[in-house]
Amino acid sequence: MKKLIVMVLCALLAASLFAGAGMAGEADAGRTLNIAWTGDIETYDAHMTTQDYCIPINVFDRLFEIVIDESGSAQLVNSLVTDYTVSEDGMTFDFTLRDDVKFSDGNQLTADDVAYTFTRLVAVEGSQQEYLFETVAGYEDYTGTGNFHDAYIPGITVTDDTHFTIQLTTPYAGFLNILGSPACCIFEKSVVEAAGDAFGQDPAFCIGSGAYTLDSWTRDLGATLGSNEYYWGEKPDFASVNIQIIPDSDTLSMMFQMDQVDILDCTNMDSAVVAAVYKTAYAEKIVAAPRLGTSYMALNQATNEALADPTVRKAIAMSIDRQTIIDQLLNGDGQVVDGIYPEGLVGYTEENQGWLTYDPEGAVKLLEEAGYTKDDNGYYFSFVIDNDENNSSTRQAVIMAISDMLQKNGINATVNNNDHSSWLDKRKAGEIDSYVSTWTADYNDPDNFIATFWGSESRASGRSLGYTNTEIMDRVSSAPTIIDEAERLAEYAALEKKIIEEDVSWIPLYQETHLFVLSNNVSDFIPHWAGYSDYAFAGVKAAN
Amino acid sequence: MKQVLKRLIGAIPVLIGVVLLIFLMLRVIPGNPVLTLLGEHYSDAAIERLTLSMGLDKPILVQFFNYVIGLFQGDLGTSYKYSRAVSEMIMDAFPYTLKLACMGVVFAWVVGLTSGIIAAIRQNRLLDRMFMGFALMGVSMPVFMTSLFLQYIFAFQLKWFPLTSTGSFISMILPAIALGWNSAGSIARMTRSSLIEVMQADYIDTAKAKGLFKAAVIMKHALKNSLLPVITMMALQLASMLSGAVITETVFAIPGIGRLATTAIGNRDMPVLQGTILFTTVIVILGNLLADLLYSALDPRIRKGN
Repeated sequence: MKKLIVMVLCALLAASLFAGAGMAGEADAGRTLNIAWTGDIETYDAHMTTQDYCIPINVFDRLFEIVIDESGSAQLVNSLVTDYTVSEDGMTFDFTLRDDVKFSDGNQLTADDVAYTFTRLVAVEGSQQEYLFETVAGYEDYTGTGNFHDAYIPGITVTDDTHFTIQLTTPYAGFLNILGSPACCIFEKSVVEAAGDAFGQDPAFCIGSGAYTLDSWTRDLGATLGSNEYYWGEKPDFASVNIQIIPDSDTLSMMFQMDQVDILDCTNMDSAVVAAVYKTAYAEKIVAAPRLGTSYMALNQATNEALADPTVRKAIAMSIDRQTIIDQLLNGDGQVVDGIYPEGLVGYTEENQGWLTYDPEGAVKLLEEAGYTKDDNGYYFSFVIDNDENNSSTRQAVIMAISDMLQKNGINATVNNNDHSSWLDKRKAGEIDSYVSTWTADYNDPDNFIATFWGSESRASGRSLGYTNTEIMDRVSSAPTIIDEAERLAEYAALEKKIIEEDVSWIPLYQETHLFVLSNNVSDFIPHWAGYSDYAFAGVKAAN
Repeated sequence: MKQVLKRLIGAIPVLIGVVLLIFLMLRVIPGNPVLTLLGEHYSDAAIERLTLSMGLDKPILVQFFNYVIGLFQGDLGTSYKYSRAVSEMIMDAFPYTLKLACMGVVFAWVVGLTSGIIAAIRQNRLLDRMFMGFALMGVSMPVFMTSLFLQYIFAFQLKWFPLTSTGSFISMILPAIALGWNSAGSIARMTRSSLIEVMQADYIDTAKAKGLFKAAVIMKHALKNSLLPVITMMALQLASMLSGAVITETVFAIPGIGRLATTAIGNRDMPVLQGTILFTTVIVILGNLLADLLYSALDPRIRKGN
């Protein structure tokens, strides 16, 4: 019996050694970067997603890229364009494309590809990005029509292979930043036409001009990226990237510690694990990137009588100890924000910071002065915070902490759990009293934040805010048309002050710091300018 | 053969009922697939367009009728999210689940039966207590804990196995044990109690009195009779394992049927959900049929009754 056990153990050990040898060999031979995501890759079609940018960022290029400069500000830099001019009225943009860019199938990039891509962005059925081009001439006639095969949207004119013009119907200062967003990847016209409905799903049609090619992709398992031999930019350190889908964060953590993953994204890790393991044993290997996003608590003025009162909303804001939440639940990885725009975004101003302080006694005083009295259960009023069960464990802990803080201050805020789809359904129907979420920049402009929530009554309702000040919403929707940049930013600052400080339409909570941990195979890493989990693998530097 | 045909015909109303029930239930639960698909930026016009193109504007009865016609043509529909044929997606995922379930079942059956028999033979002795302790652990521990425990000890600490599964034999061993341990525990406990009961029967005493060896008494007389209830349980366990082991697949990152279904729930991808549920229903019906066939193969009284 003993012999048998020893033999079995030896066999298992031998097998594991062979398996280990295989894995080590693979890493050494090809300078492969090993990455793992907790969620599946759902598409490579940047028009059909607002969050799944892993493949688009790495396989396709954009006209512009956004980089963080030494001061921490996001700057727009040329990518596929060499030059551009903007007319005095801010409505006509003339672009010159690089003439040395080829797609990974060897075909030259031309202005036709750009015009086709942007027409498709507006016209393709199910596009999630069409709103980005709502100021482009012809938008109304093309949106969602499926009509992108035969003619380009009238606002885009191709002059020759390297020159094209975009005509807007109103001035929009943030338009160039939109062209640098992941949604504005440039596709090859002939490939997209040949792919038909398979574009976005079939790796064979994933042809871009970026640093990498999509070599293989299996649902729920992962993808492999290889080098684009025609890439016009600097060759990346890693010739290939192996992306694995690892839904369980504990498994992911163990894989990183076994050197099977090169960059660990801490977003989905339990914050206690990050504090106990990674901030101690791996402290020197942590890269911190500020997330260009604001975490907020939405308060719906339409569903709950008490929440319709601005005094109540301010009292709720004063009852939440945001710094303690950051210190205790986010391990200090974040900073309090008092407005709509996060630090680093165009339009952020210190002038709108510092007005909101934690003052539970002051909150009670406000409520009592406004005539609120406690009921038999000891509460001034009640409302529900709806939690999306897709939220990270840290976010869910934040919601519980807020509920607890409010209850201790006589505000009965109870938490109701929903699966993601139900939560989204209720939120878009304007039926949620309150929820906690984060808005991260799609492009570097205050319009992306303020117009998304307060651009119209339907948008405010779709965010379950129930905000009804039409005068303010009109100002929000016309702010992008202000040509003078200083004047435009002053207007955005004034709107922020009105909506948040005076109306308390949402409670600004914090701006998180996004942590990544690097393995010994990686020496340096440039996170995405907005702090996304998706980033350009070409910016990852290999350790010697 | 007649019995098989009879059972298969009997399964048709069950399948029709399941199809109708799933279809209606998925349309009653909250969560609009169009809003889920459109993400964060959408307009009323976009909602209308997508609703039309997905056929969700039609009355539920028409949608159901179209779905059933598609089923008769072997078409499970097209995924809302991935624009791929559902049957194709299920066929991509099923080999992983099949491999996992088969290995899990082999582990459960071999370990469960062996430990149950040894425990019965060595009743109330050390081996009995050891095997029943093992069985109790399997039955009591939640699958996620078993999975993480095995993964931590044998993959992370000892490095004997890979942490996640790629579908290779060695990478499927830990997931199979995690999946099969619970079933092994149940089989072991049932085999033990059933065998102990049979061993006390008069015909066993007769066999012993005839001078047969103990092994022959157990293998030839006791085991065959004690296994009848165990066989039923074993066949049903095979069906349940094939229908998708969500937690095991999640912990070991296996892209099987369970993960396909859970992702579809989150996306409100109704065609994929309907397809996976229908597929697993067929598996469970076939599992039940297998149990019946095994039962009749082992018990002459049932064969004669037929």
